Amino acid sequence: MTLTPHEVAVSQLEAGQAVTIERIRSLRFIKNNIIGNKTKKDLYIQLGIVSRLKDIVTTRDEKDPQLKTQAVIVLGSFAFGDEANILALTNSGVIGPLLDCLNPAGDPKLIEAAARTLNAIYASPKVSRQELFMGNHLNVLVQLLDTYSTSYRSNQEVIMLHTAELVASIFARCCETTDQQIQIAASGAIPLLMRLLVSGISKSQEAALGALAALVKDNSELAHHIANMRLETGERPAPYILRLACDKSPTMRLAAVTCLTYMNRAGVIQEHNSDIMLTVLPVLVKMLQLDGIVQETAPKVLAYLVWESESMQKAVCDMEAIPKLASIISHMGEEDNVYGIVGQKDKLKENSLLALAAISQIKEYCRRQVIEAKVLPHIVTAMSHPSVGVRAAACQCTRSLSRSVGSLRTSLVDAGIEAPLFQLLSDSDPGVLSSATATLCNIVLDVSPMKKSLMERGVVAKFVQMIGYGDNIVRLHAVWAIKNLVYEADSEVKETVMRQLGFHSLAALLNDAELDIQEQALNLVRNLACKRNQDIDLVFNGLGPGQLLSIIEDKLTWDDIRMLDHALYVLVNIATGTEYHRQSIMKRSGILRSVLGLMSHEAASIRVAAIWVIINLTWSEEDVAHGVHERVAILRSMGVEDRLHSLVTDSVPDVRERVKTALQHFVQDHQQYGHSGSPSVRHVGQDAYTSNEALGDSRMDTNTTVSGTGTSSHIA
Amino acid sequence: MIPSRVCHLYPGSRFQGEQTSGSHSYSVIVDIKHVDLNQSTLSGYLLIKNLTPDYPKLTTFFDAEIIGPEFSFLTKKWDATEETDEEHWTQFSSFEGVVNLRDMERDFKYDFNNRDVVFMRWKEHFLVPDHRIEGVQGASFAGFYYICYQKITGKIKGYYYHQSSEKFQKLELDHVTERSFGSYEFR
Repeated sequence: MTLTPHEVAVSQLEAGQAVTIERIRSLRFIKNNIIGNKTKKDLYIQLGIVSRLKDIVTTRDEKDPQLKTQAVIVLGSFAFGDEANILALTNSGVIGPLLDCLNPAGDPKLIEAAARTLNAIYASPKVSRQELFMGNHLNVLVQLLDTYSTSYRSNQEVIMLHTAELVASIFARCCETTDQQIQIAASGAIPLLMRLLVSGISKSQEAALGALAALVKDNSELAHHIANMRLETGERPAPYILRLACDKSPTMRLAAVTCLTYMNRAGVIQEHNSDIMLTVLPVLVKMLQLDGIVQETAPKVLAYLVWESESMQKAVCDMEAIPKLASIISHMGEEDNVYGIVGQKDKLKENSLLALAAISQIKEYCRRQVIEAKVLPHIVTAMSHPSVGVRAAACQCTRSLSRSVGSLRTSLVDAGIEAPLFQLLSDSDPGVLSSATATLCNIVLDVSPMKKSLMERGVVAKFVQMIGYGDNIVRLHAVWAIKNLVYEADSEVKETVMRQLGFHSLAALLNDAELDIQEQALNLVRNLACKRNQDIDLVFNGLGPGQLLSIIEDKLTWDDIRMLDHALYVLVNIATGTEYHRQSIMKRSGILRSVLGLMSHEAASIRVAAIWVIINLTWSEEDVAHGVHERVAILRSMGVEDRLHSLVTDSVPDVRERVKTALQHFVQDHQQYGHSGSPSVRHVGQDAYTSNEALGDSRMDTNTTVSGTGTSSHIA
Repeated sequence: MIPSRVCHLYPGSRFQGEQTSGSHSYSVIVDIKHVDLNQSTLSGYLLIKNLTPDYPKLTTFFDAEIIGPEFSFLTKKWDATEETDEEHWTQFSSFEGVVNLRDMERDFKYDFNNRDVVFMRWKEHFLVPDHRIEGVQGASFAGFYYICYQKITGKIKGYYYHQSSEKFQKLELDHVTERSFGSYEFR
């Protein structure tokens, strides 16, 4: 039995086993063996090479940097292109020793090799960035960016420039949190990156763009700072980068449009909005037909650029981006995941799905193009993809597409999204779960034929479970979905839902710490109490009139249009119920005062809603005319009629029409009862009203129909 | 995504009336399902009774192009020519005071938000509940309606147009008063 040459090579790396020259020779032997050979790399890692290499890199012996440099290069070779190997390296703690190699006083070749290896390691998002921000490392890295400040021999010039590019690339990869962005900016890197940007050397420029893009992403403060700097030429960065967006090199174009996209989304280059539309968008769309990393990244940038922007979505749709994306997704088999690193084909699919989702977010016109591109079956298949990112992105697509009554009734049913979507409610990934629940908000609407079968599958129980255990976004979506599900639903569905959710939970949601959740819960109450007396009773008895009306009374004092809108419409809906329901509202002077105040709210929609409350409270139904007269008298005494008169000339037609209807009720009352109810005759003040309230209370206890005459005389 | 509303055009709103074709008239109910004024669109169901013996009730899904910043008076599709547009729009008495035809040809942008009258085109797409059914004996929804809605009165008038159908079949609808209002939102 004998040792393989590989084992020999590894054993020779150990200090004291061989003279330096032999050790370097072994490193070269290993390097040549493993280049592009995953099997050999795995073999060497099993032979324990990583800790040997780490030992060499850690030695303080600086006599001959060659040994160290070779060891660093071999580490880089392991790191390149394989995430499992990267993690094998970082688990052995190589990052610290590699960062120590960057000392600017050291050998330039060693520095460059260390920067290259670190850059390869940081390609994996799973690697911790923490060490880079510790000690003096960040300052050292910034010094390496400064290629002009030291005098160097010209043969070293290239090495130092490469080093600067690698450092810029490391910064781009270690700039994922706001905190990291701020630290890198504070280290003085930005002016040096600007200098690299205008160096005229393509690779350097690309690297600078990458770092600048990472610094401005989702950071409007830094974006503003950078957009307003001056380059050496006196020019601002944006127009310069716009020229790079038309460079002949695809990777340069990608770097430039990515940087511009982030600046645009941060809102700091508004003067270039048309350039973004006319230059950046078409460049990105053309990239969809390239290959490799450019094709893979472009859809993600595109998605980011058009997100929530209607005009961008329309523009990119008109550039025929949808058929191109659809073709990428459709022509990608499941077996295509051949690249070892982080599933590159998966990334292309994920990013393309994200782009489709973004483009079809708002406009029906864009959604129709997605449907017509016949990509929906592939989207549905992708909802069960092994990659979490692909599943989430596919779900995001169905979410955008489901924002359409037409699609809900047709293509989404035909594509069979229901079963895979329901399956995703059990997904272990919170992102997928949140996205699936958001889509379900649309799928459980009354116009969706899938609503019924989803209920049979037990979707309500799932929602209830999520409200109990999910994170805040998932909880929000779950309450939202229940609200949509009971919209226009029959009484039986409402009762089923409330049996599962429980009024105790509903009450808690109405006072949730998250305001968005409160709003959805209030909207749910509005939908529950809609249409039938039976439905109003469900809520009234479930929450108890006291609790329900106290919640409404509180919400009516908020300075939040959506909350006010729902609170008012809860009253509107309750006031269509029985005398008991209307009297319960009338007993709450706080509520009535708020409604009166909201009749003059600055938002027309709130004025309309408040007037609707008055209309329904004064609606005449033959058999209970006395109750109406009593309510008219009370409202009149509070000044409601006067307020209505002041709104007759409201600038909004909808308000004017509702005012007309409401005033008719007051006029009818005049005609029927003469002026006996007019406050101008009797000057009824708050005191009289209060005593009426007390009377109302005693009546509510016996729960009998209100007798109008007694009350009228009491007011008098 | 909250649906928008303007007067009687809101999700859940119902209109009732009839469609007249020659001496026949059919009872019609229109339910508005979604309104998106930003996109100048709305959609809903159109139910027509006793149009054919096989279907005592026939419901279609339609969507609307609201004439305004997004859609012009000129249809430019669905077999409608400028002449067809002109002869249909001018059926509405409220059209005259609003725009002249020369404006229409210059692609004038009608401001439906600040006018009392809203003009639309309603295009039916498929049957409800089963969208897969194609072709109903004795009925067709291949054409579209020219629609005129008045905000103050809540009345809708319309004319059906299809190359091979009887001309000027008239739709007349009134808003059905509803006093309770739910609300949904796409997510």
